[in-house]
Amino acid sequence: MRGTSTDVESSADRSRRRLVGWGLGIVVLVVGIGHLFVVQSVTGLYWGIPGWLWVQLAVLGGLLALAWLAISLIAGGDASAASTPMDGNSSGSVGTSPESDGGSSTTGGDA
Amino acid sequence: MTASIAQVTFAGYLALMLVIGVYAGRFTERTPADFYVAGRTVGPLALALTLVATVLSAFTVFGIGARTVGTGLGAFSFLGLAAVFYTFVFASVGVTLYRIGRERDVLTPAEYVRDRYESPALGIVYLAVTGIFMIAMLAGQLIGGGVALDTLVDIPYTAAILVMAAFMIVYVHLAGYRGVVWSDVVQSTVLFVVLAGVVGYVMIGLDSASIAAEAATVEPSLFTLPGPDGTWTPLAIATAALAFTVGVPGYPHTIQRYFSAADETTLRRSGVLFALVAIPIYLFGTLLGAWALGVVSVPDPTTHVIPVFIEAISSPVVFGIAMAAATAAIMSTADSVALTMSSMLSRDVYRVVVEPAASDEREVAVTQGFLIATVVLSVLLALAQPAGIFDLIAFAVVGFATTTAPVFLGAYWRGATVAGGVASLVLGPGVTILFFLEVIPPVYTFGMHYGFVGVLVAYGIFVGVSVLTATPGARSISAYSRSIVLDRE
Repeated sequence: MRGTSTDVESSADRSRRRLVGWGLGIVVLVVGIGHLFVVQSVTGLYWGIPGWLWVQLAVLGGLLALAWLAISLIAGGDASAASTPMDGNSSGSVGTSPESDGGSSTTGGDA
Repeated sequence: MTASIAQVTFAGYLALMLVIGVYAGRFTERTPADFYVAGRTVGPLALALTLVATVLSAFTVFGIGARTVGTGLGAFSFLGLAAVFYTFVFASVGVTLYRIGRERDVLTPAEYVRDRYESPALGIVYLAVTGIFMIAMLAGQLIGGGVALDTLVDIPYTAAILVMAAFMIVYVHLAGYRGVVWSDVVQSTVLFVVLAGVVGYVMIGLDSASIAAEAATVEPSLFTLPGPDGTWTPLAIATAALAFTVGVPGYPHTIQRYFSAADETTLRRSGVLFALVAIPIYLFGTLLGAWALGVVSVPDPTTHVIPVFIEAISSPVVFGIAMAAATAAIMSTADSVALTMSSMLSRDVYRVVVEPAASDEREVAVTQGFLIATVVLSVLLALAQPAGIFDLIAFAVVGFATTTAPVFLGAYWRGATVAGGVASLVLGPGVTILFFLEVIPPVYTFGMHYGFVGVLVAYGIFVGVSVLTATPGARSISAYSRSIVLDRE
């Protein structure tokens, strides 16, 4: 595993991606809690919905996008590291039944 | 005449759900793997929608409305925030448990605990403790269903509860987990569309600004973040969100869904899809609860507020569909809980303690028997109505959160021990129950949500006792989590 420079680079790249992913996760946590302290200062009703709630919806949308990005990065970092014996056990998601709606391969790094 | 149209719509919807269940039952094999987790073939969209139908339910339509009327729109804040946080738990712990489930052929949460710690006793303790909260959750669903039938069909509450329970028992017997998922897909879609339609109609067709202004004259602080009684401080919202973040992904019936995923990408995608569907539904529920005050008087009980509001502003057909969708989603949650509970009783108690040589068919048959016992217990609790829907379900959610330390940490930390698990499962939920019953005065939460305090106690005790007791080997950790943990040791 430590033999070639390519291996070392890819390993470092995976670690970096995983680190950035978890860093984004912390950002989501901090912004998610932190915005509660400032959002209540927004007043007024717009279409029957308070201004602070409009702002909060925008914040939650942004946080969800960040969460998606973070999860993708972490998954990319974990996928190669987690090559395991049970990878071959996955039956995948096939057939026409509603519960199998297009799942993909077992080691998903593309989330 | 108006009531009759609504009743026909309602009955027709329930009949449709039953047909789906019967049809799905034709594909269900009488093996534990198929009856409990649909042969581990559930894809991302179906998994997301079954999570939505399972998680939202009575709480969304009835509990949230009542809570919003009492404490304001801040109720949305912690639910929306928690939904974002869930995505990380699904993508991390969910994926790990998925892998462990595949690696060790685990089908139930109690089986995972038993296998992870090589301790049948700990598996039974986990089942016993989570069983308390599952019964509370199940009873909360029945209360919600009883409210809907009482409001719409005008049958007595007791009779309504019994009808719901009977429907549930038949449904799960016929369909198993596969049928639950199929019906969940329809139910959560209908719930989303109906609530979105009603909210859109209020905003565009009825002038939501005027309705909200009228509601604000009834309760001036309704639209502020802290709410009329100052409930929703940033600390209260953040700690409630964190307690739910551990609790909802730690439901035994959620954990069983990790085992049912077709692949790990499914789990990552379904977490985000769940948030994309759940956050709007949470929003719709709180908005309808707040706007209701501008149109109707606060009903008694307050949990009727959203049904009464929808009835006042829409046609009987829309009202019938809305109530039918809500009730069907409620029953979907209830039968998911009942299926998970009965499958653990059968697989982790009966097949371990009573008849280890039982066949697969026998195990499924015993599961169906335990299903009846579980539902009967829940009916008795629902008839006693020990708390409101929101309180009962919130109690169950935070109760589940206090049972997750041996499940979540055990997936990664090889220092986790049986003694730590037992201490955490007894003392964490114990403290939570004492707070819920106010045996421990609320002042000792120091402004935090009481469930979050219970989570801190549960995790602290789990780590502390595990450190002080013998360390097992790493064999019980999955290859996946081992690759993460051992990299850092």
